[in-house]
Amino acid sequence: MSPPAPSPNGDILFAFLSIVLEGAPYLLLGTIISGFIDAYLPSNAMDRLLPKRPLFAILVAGLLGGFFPVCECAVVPVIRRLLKKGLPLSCAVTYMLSAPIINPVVVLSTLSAFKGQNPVFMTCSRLLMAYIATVIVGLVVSRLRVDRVLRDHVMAEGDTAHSHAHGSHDQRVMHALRVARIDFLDTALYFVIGVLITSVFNTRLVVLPEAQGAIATLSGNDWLAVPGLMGLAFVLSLCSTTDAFIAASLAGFSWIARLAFLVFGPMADLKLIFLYSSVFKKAFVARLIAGLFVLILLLSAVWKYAAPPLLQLIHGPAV
Amino acid sequence: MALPSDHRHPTGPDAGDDHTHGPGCCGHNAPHHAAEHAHDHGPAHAVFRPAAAAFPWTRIIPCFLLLLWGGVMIYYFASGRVVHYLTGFGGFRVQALLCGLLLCVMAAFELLVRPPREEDHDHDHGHGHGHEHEHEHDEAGGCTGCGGDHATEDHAHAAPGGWLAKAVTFLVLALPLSAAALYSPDRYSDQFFINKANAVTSAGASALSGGGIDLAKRAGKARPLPGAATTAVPDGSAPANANAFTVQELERLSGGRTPDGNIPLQLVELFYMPAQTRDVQEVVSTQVVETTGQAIKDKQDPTKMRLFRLMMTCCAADARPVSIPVEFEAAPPEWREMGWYKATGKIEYRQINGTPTTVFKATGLTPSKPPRQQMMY
Repeated sequence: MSPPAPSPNGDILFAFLSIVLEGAPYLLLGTIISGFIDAYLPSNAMDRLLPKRPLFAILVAGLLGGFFPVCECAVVPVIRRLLKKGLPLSCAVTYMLSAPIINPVVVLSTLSAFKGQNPVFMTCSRLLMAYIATVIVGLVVSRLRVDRVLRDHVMAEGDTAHSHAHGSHDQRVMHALRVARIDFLDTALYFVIGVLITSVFNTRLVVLPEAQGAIATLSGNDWLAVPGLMGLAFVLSLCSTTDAFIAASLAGFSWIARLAFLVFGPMADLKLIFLYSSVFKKAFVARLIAGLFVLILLLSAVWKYAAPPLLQLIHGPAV
Repeated sequence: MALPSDHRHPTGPDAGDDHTHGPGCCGHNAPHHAAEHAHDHGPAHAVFRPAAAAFPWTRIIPCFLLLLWGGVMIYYFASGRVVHYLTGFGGFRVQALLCGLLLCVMAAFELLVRPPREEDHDHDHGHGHGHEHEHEHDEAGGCTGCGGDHATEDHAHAAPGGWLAKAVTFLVLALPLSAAALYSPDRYSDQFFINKANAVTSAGASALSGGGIDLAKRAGKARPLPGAATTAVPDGSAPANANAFTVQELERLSGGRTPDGNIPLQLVELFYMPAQTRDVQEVVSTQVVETTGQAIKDKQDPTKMRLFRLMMTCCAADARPVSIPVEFEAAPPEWREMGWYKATGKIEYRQINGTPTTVFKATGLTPSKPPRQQMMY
């Protein structure tokens, strides 16, 4: 069977299918991890692992991605289970936002993508800014009431695992696969909607000469370029392991605008709105994304002026 | 969202009892509730066993969806069409295959292994939760302790929403993927290409992002290029390497000379040449090379031509244009915008807008057929 002739609608289907083929394995990986967390992790494990003081717990949660590397598609089912295992909501949100950036795969891809364009500086800035932003968000979330953040059915989810704590190994694996299966379809629903919208935007809107012209006019002025590229990252919904290559190729944009692109994109984009909605209430998702936008904008403004002198302190030349 | 997935408690005659927790069912009466549940447990089973024997939609539909997703992924891998969607590097294709296989295994597992034993199991533990509930409620501020009476979250979903939500869920999971699998053209339309060619993400004259592409990779070798450890910084200040790259090596890695005696190289390899070590750059620049791409006007100087191709990093959706300037000794020959051409000539390295760039000094330009694979990796 030969594929149909290319057409504008075909572009959407082509982009959609390619993101699904790329993303579904990670989604499944996330849900399998989530299944095994459910089956094997004792319900109070998180209490014991994390520091008692909320601030320290959040500071640690922001670094967990280094040990449990998951990209932004896989992290959503994982935090859903971790919440169930007693991970405080603030830590869960911090982990969810930071893990897609603060993990070894993304460090390597960022270093490689910015080869010849200050790779170490860009990578360190990306990690640092993401860490600061996610810790701040975690601190804010720790002041919110859980029932205003989590969706009712997520709050209602009981912990079934201790029923398996004394079950046999086979029973636990069965349970893990079962949970993985349920979580996969549940998360895939939001994934499909997000990917579909992303595909339409990417193939029909962002590539239009008018849209490209609009983006290009932003490049000269950082006050426009930073929010502009954050908006672009939001629409493009790239995977956090890939986005550095796109950012590195955004010729004509300043490093700070590209940095904002790299920090904001993995935390908030079209696809993620829908994935987040599988766990969080809509109002919270909206506030989270608006808050992240403002926060990263502010951090970018600070870093734009703070980084060059800092860098000069470390070794001669400016950025 | 309600999923048409299984229920530990199939909607049978007894579905109206304590199983239909709406949202917020974890209210203060939950411990009591759990106890009540345990009470109902015995008789409930007696009632819903026969109901489960009726046609088990709640298990068939998730299985169907898993098989559909798994089947599409396996088919695209097995038919080879995956090459248009995912790069060959980084294991993305194998991941897709494994994901497809696993989904099918999970579906088979769900179909073949009936869960009644597990139901008993979960129910048995339902009682244990009343006491645990209160303190967990305080700690997490939420309902995490709500316990085994919500055996799985789909149970919690099952109550509201009803058939409409389930139907929508099913359609969202089934339709777009089926449509894409059946009608995806495996390539972008010309209009998309024209738009992309002029996109701001164009890795044009002023952007050099080392994509880690090198000749060795292209030849399917994991072995790093000689001296790859001392990767050239783009200003060309790489140290000369004793273990220098040779013409023979280039011939071998490029897959052999063409009948005309040229070295065939991919456009992306030429594009990334300034990121190669000095010895590789020098050897390549001594040879007559040929490369294929689509012709576009240079944005800064419309009389000049560039050859471009789309390159994907992971999947087709992240495709970005990669282009190099093509210069001719005399006036450039007639060429058609977006036409496919094969250029023959030598390459030079030059700083353009502050970025080291590969410039193709062409001696020949011939129209060519579009390559079978639209995108490069």
